[in-house]
Amino acid sequence: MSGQINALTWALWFASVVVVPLTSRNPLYLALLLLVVLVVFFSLPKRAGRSSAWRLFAYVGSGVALLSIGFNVLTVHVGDRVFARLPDQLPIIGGPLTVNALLYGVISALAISTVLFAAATFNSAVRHADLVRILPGSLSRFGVAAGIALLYVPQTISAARDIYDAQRSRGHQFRGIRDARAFVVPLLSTGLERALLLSEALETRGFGASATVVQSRPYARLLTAGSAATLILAFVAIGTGAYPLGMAALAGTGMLALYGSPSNSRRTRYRQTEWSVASLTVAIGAGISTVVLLFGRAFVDLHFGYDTFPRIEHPQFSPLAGVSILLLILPATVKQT
Amino acid sequence: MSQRTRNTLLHRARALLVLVALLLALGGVLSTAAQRPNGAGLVIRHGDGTLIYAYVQFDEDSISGLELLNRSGVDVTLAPFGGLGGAVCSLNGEGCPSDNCFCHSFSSPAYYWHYYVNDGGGWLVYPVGPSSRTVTDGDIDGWSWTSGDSGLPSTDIDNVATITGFDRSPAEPTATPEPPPTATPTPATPEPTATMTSLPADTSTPMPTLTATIEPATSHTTQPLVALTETATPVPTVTATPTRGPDSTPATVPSTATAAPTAAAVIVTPGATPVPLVAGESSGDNGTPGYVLFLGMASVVVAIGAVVVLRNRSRSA
Repeated sequence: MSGQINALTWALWFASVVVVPLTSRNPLYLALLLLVVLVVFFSLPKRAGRSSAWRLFAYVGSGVALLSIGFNVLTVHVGDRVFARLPDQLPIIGGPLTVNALLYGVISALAISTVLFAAATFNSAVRHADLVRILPGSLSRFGVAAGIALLYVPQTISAARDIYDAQRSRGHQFRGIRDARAFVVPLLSTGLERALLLSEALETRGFGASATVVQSRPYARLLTAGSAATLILAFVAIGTGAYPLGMAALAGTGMLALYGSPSNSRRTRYRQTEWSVASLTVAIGAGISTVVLLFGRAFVDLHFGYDTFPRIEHPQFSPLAGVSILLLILPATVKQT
Repeated sequence: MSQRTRNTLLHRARALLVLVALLLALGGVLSTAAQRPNGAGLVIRHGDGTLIYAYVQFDEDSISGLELLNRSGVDVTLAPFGGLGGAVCSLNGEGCPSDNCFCHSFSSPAYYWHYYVNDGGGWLVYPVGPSSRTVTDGDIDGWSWTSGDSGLPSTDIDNVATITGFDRSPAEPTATPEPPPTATPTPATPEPTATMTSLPADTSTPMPTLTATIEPATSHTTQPLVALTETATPVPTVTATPTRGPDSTPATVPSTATAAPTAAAVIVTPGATPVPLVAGESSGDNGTPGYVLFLGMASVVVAIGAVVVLRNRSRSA
């Protein structure tokens, strides 16, 4: 299977990946998902700059996530398996240290690392211009702002690397805090300069201009009324405990509101989104995975609920959920052209 | 003052200091030995009216309400509830799963586990979760699976301790209920090893007779649990006085016993069938098939990863 995976498919894949870390603390699912995401991440073709910057971001973020283990152990003193005890006189950290808290910290770190590597994969694989392009017209400004915000991290890392290399080539040695001034000051000035250039470029292209043509959509009022009705339905469903129906109604509300809102900018597209076999396969896999992981629990027990408190118990594993997570490895099997 | 005199005085002062320290330490040890361990009570009322009395001893100054539940040997299912602490979803299998903690509260009447504290005269609803509650010596926590009134009996800590077989007098630091010899397994229909007679507060209520069987915990914990069967209407507000019968030999301390129990729970069931509560019993299975499946799927992912890495290397070469 070869071809190019389009931005919409990557967005669907990313949304499907984050379902498990956001809704479950089952360590088996999280570990399997992290493996899947890592395989997809390392299968991407290396592009100079952008990919390596996001890789660094994921590594640093995962390192920070590991701190949550120690934080959890020191601040949560609940559980049935005590392995050490700090004096009770110590504020916050005083008390029994439990394996339960340690395990919960590990699970949280797994979830955070999974989301970070998924974000790094998504941002390495997709051009942000493509992302803005697939957004509806009413969200185009939001898309531009979000794209700029997302680009901040890799651009800053790239600039930091350039400054570091330039200073080293001039013979500067970074030995301590005092030497950091030669690194931090150019980094700040570069960031400010880039922000000014960006704002001028946006102004030149008319970003934020008020004199735009508002395109009215057919059945706009009907769509808006439908959106309000599904929102009420969502509140009622969630309030009565019908979570799957409530979530589906919320998603419907968003879709109707999106297409019912007027587009405030006229956009032209020179190239339509291509749906190659690879894109279709990955999108179908991600779609099935999302549906099963989000709504499957209404019909079968997917064992998403897991807690290490007050006792550590064996986590359960549902084959259906496992196969759904495995479907997310499909991008790695595509030979991207 | 000469140097020699000063040295002598210094030595004497040191010796006096050491003596005082030793005396203080000895006094501390003696006072600790004579002191009764802290203890707190727990009363749980299930939807069918079954009452569970538990008494937990602890060495700390205080423990959390969650620790009290945990140490009592009751099977607890929790769900995280933000800054309010953990929410209790089910106790001893009654209630809801952790991923839908208040599943019976969305319809009318709304049932969920209500949390109460005993203020000496009655039960007060506690506004936050058990992990945010500080339990000290003499406190009693109450849990009730109800949609309205607590239904919890009025009681006090001495009553709970007596029902569960503990002695709260200062001279007795160890618990009264002791595990039977490990070599003698409890039969399916055990002979009563202790008899508990409860006197109802209301004389119009028939007097129930409770028989207690002390059984060893079968799981990893060492807490003995006591199942009570009553032959009349349960009256939880009793001032029960356990009187060991002449055939209470299993309750003697076996030579193989290593530690005195620190907690005990008593079930008061409206029916006549004894239901022993086993502390620390896991509600789920051991998950072995799940682990095998997980390892299989993880192996598939690793194999795909290896193929991908090899493909990328060959492409770059």
